[in-house]
Amino acid sequence: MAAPTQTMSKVFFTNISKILLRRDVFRHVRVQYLRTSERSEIAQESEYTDEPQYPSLEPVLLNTKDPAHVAYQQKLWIDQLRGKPTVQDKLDFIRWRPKDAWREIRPKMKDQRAPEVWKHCPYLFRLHPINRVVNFLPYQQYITRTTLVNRLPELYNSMDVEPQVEQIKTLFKEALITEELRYRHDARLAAQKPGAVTCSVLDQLVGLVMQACGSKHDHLLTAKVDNETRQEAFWFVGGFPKREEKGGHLQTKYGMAFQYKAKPWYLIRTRDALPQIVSRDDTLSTEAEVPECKYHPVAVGMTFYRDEFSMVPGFKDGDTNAFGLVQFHECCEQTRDLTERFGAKEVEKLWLGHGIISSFSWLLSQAFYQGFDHFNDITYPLITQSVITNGQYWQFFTYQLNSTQASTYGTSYYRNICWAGERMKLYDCIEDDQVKGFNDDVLRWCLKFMLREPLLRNIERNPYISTSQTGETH
Amino acid sequence: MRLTLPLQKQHIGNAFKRLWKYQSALKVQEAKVPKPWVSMEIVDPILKPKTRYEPFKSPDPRLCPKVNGKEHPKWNDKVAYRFTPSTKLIEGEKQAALLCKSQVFYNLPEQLQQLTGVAKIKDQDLLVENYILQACRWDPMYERLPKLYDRERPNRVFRRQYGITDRRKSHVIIHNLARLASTLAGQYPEFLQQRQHIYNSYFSCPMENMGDLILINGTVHIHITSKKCLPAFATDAEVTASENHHLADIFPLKQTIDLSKENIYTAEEQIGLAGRTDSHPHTLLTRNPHYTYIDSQLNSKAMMHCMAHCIIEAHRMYGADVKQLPQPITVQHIGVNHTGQVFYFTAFQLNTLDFSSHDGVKNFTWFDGGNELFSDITKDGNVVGYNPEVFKKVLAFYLNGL
Repeated sequence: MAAPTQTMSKVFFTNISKILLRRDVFRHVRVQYLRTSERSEIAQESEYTDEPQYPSLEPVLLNTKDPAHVAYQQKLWIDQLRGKPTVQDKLDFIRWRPKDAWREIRPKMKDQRAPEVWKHCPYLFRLHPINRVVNFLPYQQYITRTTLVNRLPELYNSMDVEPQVEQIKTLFKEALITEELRYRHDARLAAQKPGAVTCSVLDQLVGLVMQACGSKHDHLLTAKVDNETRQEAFWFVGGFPKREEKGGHLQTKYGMAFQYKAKPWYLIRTRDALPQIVSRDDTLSTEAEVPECKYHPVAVGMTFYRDEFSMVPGFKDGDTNAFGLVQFHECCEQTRDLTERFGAKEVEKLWLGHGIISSFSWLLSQAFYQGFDHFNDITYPLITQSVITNGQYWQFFTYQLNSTQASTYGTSYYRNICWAGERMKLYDCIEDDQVKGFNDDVLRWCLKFMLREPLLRNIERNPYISTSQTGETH
Repeated sequence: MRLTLPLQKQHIGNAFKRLWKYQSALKVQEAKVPKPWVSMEIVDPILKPKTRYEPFKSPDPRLCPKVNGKEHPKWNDKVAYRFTPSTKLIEGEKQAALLCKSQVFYNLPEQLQQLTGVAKIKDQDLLVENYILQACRWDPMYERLPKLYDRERPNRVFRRQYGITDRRKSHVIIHNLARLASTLAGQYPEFLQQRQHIYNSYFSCPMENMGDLILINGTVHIHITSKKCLPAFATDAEVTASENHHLADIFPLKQTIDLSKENIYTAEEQIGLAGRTDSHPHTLLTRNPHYTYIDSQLNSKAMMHCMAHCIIEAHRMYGADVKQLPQPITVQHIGVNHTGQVFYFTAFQLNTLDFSSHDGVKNFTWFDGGNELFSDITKDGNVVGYNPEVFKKVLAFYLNGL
């Protein structure tokens, strides 16, 4: 019985000493004295190193609302997030749910048989490719921290695609006429959806480019083409003024949450990433202007709903072709009656907003699937190209994602950059089996976008992910 | 004096008096007309003429005349038998052979057999395996799947499954294979001018078979057209020899037993090519959503679709009244089962348009069914039992008629 009493007393006294040290008198000092015998044991020669190794600094717990303490806890949380080995683990950690819980919860939510699941979901503000809101462009720029450049980058000027244009031009015209005739002859085809003709034209265009250039360009041969897949992304923006009206501030613990969801007609993905257009140290990336619109989303005219965060770049984790080359969006249904409602000038701005939001979201989800997230910034810029069309009008965008941290203003000073070309008309009309006023430039830009080679190979793509573990993402 | 609680109480009498002093009498303020209103005219709303808005009345559907009877504008006295993509021919190939007046061979024609393995695309097997994984594993689709059912334990209720639907799987596989085949244009530059892909093309074709009017309609998911006509698979001697061939009898069944009878129809020919006269049907790629069909039923469907396209093509080339064909017309067909796993190759040659009797020259059909592209996908994301021969056959079909 002697031995246990001794140990018990030892434990008791050490605990008491800890408690005493934590009391008000000694709270700034945290030292624990050891007995001389123990000290001699520890102080061996092997403990000494050439360079002194200090333990990590920890702020003493004075007050949970102390900004220093809060910042330290956040840092710990972000380090923990960075250490998660797979994309699914990272998602679960941000969702604040146990591992793979979403796999169980999601079917329940789909069935709508379990409303108790919805209660624990965060408030989300839904971003469509085109939100029907007046003067929305500055807001879209603010929440994505994007600067807008009203011309396409100059590196495309050096690309020569004239032989391919000559090869395809007549065939594409023929295809345009066939599609137009098909839809005129058959009412049931046109009745599918408003943009059915446009989708068919996109089918023909992508098919023709693949047919003509697929075997000569390796990146096109190995590319993966997704038709009408899910493209979803979420992110957080902080710093909005407090809303005290009915319903509350509607904020998650990371900030205001925005959820983008769309189904683009075509996504073309490659194995390698596109090289950067502008360096991250360039003045355009660091000092360019971003409009400041610190308005609550409800005040702007957005609607909220409750759902779980979802991040889908058009594929599940594990796909080898993880970098986007071009995306083709069809916007017939969304822009159907916009000119009557908002006027032609506003519609142009909404098209620009479409380019910004869709490009940013796609790149953000790609970055997430490489192991980066909203809190651990990307180590190399990501680039994508977007084409938005309603069949007759076409607009081209190039986007460079310099930083994923749209929310934490101040920690990262990078701006994302969007280069937008002019809206171009493909043709005036199709009459008497002939395309009138055909514009070559549209075809030229499409080819330039698709033939631009992704050459970014010698980089560490996913430093925060263990490549051995990949799994399904939910 | 000590300030006690009763002393701190509010004196209600005093408070009431204070309020009464100001609020007992109601003070009426002087009426002031705002400056901008002074110059405005006063209109009496009672004297103002009222405009009356009458709501639009939609006709009552119960009082509308019935359109399903003989008064229907599309009513015909002659009964038509309709063959839709969901029609299941109970006797399979035998029944379809009677409807198409066709002789059946169970291997690919020599022409196509020689072409298999001729064309090659760089890393084609690796790419096809990647497409299979893209369709069956990496697609982010999350939809409700059909109910699970165990025949041995019918009472058991399974949890509802979510994931990639069969329709999506076969869609992705078919489109990717067609796109990969089209890159042959790098090796054979003529293809770029000749071949064109048309997606979701609708067709309908009326035909007379033993005195019955038969309407065939459906959609081809990818219709590959060609500027050149496909050459005939069989020689003239083989065609004339087919006069001695006797079609299999399915008595007591009639060949139109599974087709639905209709009186309301328009017997017109339609094809996905619309008004284009310079291109001809080459290969039809379709995916079949029917998981209850057996191989011979899928083959029979392919045969019917091929024949419809050939008849329309014959009428387009040689006029609507043609009976004797100067040259036989051929079409190829690639069908996929509901999961996108099994491929059915069909070649069809139209030798005669005379369907009034079973005698005389017959049409030809070649079947090569049950080609399994892959058997399964493991949980680690590996394709099990990949068969490279299937894509070689697809390439041979694409290459034919160069």
